[in-house]
Amino acid sequence: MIVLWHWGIILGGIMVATYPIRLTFVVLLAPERMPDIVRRGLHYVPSAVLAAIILPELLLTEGALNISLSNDRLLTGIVAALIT
Amino acid sequence: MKIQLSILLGVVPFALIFGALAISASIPPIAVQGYSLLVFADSAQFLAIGLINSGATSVVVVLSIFIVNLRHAFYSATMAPMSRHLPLRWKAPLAWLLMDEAFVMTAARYARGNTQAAHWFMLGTGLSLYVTWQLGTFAGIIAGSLVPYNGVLDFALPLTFLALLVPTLNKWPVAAASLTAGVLAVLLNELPFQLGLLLAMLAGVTAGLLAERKNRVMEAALP
Repeated sequence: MIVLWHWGIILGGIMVATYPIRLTFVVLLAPERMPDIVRRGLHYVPSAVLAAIILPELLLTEGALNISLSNDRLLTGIVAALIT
Repeated sequence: MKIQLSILLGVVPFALIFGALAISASIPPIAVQGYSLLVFADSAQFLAIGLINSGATSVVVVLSIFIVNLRHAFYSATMAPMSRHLPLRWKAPLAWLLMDEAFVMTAARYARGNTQAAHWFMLGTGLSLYVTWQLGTFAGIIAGSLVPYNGVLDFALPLTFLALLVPTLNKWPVAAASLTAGVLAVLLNELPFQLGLLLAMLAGVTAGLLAERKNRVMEAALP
């Protein structure tokens, strides 16, 4: 029982470290009140996020840069990008 | 619809591996499933397991998760204009579901100019990801060490993301933002707590704004 309490506390802490961040702007800050530059910048978030997630997956093999024909992921990615 | 399905299938290996890893770190099954049910944040969940496994204190675990999750503030800000007209009873659950995959799918659809009923789309996407994530975690808990981790299955998700990214690259500033973010994410890959990812996103957005301004200056210079 004590063990479960321990996990419950960690879980609660992690929830507190997650949900409020996601709520911040959606609830607290109206888009009208955002500075213009921020609002325009938001336009680039989705593409920047996608690229920042994908490129390391394509270019890194076990943490090291691998730009060569032996990198299957890179080759697959290039083909996929071309046919999309 | 095709992309949605492949994203759903794409998260399954991660959910399986998460469940299996957590069990192998001797976390009680109920806490593992509870974690997926109550937090629903794929990469942060993996980080927590790794930290717990290496004997980190609860405070370190929670603080690290907080830093990793800072990028969700970006997501939240991006969603703000889309959800501005909605009452809190919509916003609160949508924010709850705002993890990477749900965000990119909604935002990519919005970026393509499809703004109709964005909140219903987000809710449907988020809920189906949520259910998939729970089932995958459960299966991972049950299967434990039987879950294969061969690096092939988990490549489906980046590929699907690629299919989302390519159609958005139709304007120079967006391409500049993506290129900058992607290259920096590779270069800063070694930074702890996925700070590289956060910095790469910031730099990408800045690059997009700069390219946009340069475009405007050039247009203004034309006779």
